[in-house]
Amino acid sequence: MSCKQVRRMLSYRREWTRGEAARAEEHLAACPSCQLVARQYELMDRRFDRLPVPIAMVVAPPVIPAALSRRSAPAPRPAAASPRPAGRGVLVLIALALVVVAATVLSVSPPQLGPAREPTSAHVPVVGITDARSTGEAPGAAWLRVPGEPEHFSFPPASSDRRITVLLLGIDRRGGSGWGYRTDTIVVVSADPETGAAAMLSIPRDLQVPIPRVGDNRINVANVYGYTHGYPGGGPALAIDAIEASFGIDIDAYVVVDFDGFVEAIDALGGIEVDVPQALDDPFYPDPRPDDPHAHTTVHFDAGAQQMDGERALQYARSRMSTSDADRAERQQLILLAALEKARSSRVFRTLPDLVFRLAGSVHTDLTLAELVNLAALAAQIDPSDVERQVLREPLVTPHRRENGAAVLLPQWDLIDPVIEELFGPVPALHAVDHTVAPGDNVWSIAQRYWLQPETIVWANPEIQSAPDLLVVGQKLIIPPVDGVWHTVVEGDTVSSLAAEFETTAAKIVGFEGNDLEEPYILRMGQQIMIPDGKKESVVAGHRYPMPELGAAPAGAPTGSGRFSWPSTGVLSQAFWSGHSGIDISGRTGVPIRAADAGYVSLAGRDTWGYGLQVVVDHGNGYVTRYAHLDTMLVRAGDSVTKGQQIGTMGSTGRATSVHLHFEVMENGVPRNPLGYLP
Amino acid sequence: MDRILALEVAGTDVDALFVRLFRDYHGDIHAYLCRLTGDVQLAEDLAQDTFVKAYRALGRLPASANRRAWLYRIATNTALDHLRRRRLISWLPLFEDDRHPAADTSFQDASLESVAVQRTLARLVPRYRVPLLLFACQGLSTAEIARVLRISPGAVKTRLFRAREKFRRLYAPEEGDG
Repeated sequence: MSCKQVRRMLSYRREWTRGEAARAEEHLAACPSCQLVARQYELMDRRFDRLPVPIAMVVAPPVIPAALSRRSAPAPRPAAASPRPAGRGVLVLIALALVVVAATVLSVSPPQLGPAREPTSAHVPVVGITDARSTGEAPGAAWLRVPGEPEHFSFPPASSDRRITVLLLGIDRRGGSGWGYRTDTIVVVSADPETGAAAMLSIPRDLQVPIPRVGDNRINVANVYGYTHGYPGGGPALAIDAIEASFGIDIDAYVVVDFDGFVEAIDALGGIEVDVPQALDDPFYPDPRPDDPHAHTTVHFDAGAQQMDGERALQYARSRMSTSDADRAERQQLILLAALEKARSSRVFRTLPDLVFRLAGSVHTDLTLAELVNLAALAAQIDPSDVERQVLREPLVTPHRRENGAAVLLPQWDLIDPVIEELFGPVPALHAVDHTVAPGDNVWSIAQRYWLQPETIVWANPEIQSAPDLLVVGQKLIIPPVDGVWHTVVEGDTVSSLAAEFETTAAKIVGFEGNDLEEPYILRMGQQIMIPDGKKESVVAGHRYPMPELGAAPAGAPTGSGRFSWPSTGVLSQAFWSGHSGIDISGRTGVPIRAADAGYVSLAGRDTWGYGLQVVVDHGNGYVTRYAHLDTMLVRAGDSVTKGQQIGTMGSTGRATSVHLHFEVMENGVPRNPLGYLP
Repeated sequence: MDRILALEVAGTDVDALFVRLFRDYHGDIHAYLCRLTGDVQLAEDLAQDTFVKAYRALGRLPASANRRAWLYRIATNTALDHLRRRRLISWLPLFEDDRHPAADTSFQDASLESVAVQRTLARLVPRYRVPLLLFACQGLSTAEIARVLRISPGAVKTRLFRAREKFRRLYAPEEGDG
């Protein structure tokens, strides 16, 4: 055989037949240069093996989780033969999709500023966790959404009488990718299934409100900072939190749409008819061309009923020259209503998936398809003429120039609050709710869903304190309304004694509306009260899960390199926190689990408190790693292992609510955040 | 409840199959696209496109088909289409910082070796990068790669060989490394 033939064979060595192997080995034995190439190819394979595993995130893509959600939460199926008006469900759904999409009416960003882009790091929970060591938590990991597992939230069934509120965000990202742009259209849409009432509130993009972790700033930057600051849930979550906090509106979901999505949706509807209240003439409508990005064109709309296709509707929605931002918000609402009307009466669409897929790249939402269906059912009950609408404009907001010269609008809450109450009803009471543990849940993921610290949940549920990582599906947990201690009053408790006991202030306790406390603040025995920002003794997981006595390393046991590799592929489903001394990587049964570094197996077996089959590897350099919930184990105690050697397969043995690997890194017995040690 | 029916247009079997495919391969496909493009965020978008296309085409896929190879084929074509288009438009960043967000940040903490590997991969043309990644990283067999690329298994082996030769010559880690 020639060297070239052998080298070609070397490139697919793991597939060799016995005959090929024999022939190649024969040549290799006699050819040092081919031996060298063989070694280099081997090294190459090992380098590829060591490439970091990007932990896949599904940041609420509009389509796929929707499909999945049907599986994880099977919708009640009607009898197969159930007759129905042709395509009504589809149409209604489109109506909703449209409503939602039509809200993507966008503004013109000053070209010199351009759209902000979120740095990719914000999206990357694992490949290069730059913040993991400093903050102890993985940025971005917080809004991981595990395919096939329960969603962040579910809508109540359509029959529920709960008011549903969706935040619509419009962005201009022409030429860009990602979703971290300023949201120049912000509309809160809400519908009440019981009354059929619906409301729409347009919030000006320049409104200055306190944005969590950012400070006072224009509301339209929340979506940008949410990504750049690694806010749990990303940009839309930060926007929602900022709006919820300032306006006291409870927002269930978000939909972000770009220009393309808007145009596509209107066109899919076959255009809409908008009742233009007064003629609009805009000689400066942006019309960027390759040679002149600042070029303008003229657009004109006559007053009266006007037929608009997607492009035309976009012009009507975006035009801002010669009118104000508030006027534009008004036009956007008209388009929303027109789209709702058209979708209600239209018979254009036969298939739902097609539209959803067409919009998939231009719409970003945490709504699943199933939730959209529920919403659509709701939308069907809404008469566009009954929709209460408000645009926040002067005098509800007042222009203001910040010290740095930035023009912002300041909210006048005494004027805005009554409007909010009229549109959205009273702010929901702040009480604890029950959560039933579903497959895939863990304390951390539940805490993420309710925007709480995991410790808050542990403190409220003493029965899980000894083993917060070992939930059982079906178990009920109390979820306090805010972070802190959820406390049942016992004899002798007073507001000030509780404040002292839980290291917070009496003012916070009496100031928390859900507590409903009034002077002289007498507490009843058995009364449940929320102690906002209260603290209990921290859960220290490392102490709850004692390591078995480790014997001395056998003679000749390999010592680890001190550099760890990923123990498996999958999705990060639980971060490291005080109740969880490692990380969870979710995948499917049978995914190979590999030793993160060389060492010897100090324990391989089944434990009695819930980690199921587990392997513990002592790396001989002060580090010990643990791999738990395995389906099968491929090593025994006392075995030596090399870095990357497969030691078992992923499973859900012990007490686990889903198939995942629980992976710990201990340094001299102290649990460390593995994300700080992994490539 | 008739609105629920609207969801069943595509048929439950296809949906169930899709869900399984998604669960089984989303992670792998995303990882593959990351390595192929060197851009984690882009890879996410492309992975989503891949599964959307897969969903639409799933009904036409023969039951006997190798679904893994089929998914990788869609992913590969989706990614290459994208890269091709981007080059045609002579993609210019708006900001200096935007130029290579992924290259600068997402791999920041990865070992230098990984960076070197990724960088070397980026220098291989797709013709070689794709089969090498599929074989060495994604664990596909040469027969599966043949299905992905619609070429003969022999041609796959030849490409693999050329890819490895190029990689071997181009690979230059930043610091002394095995």
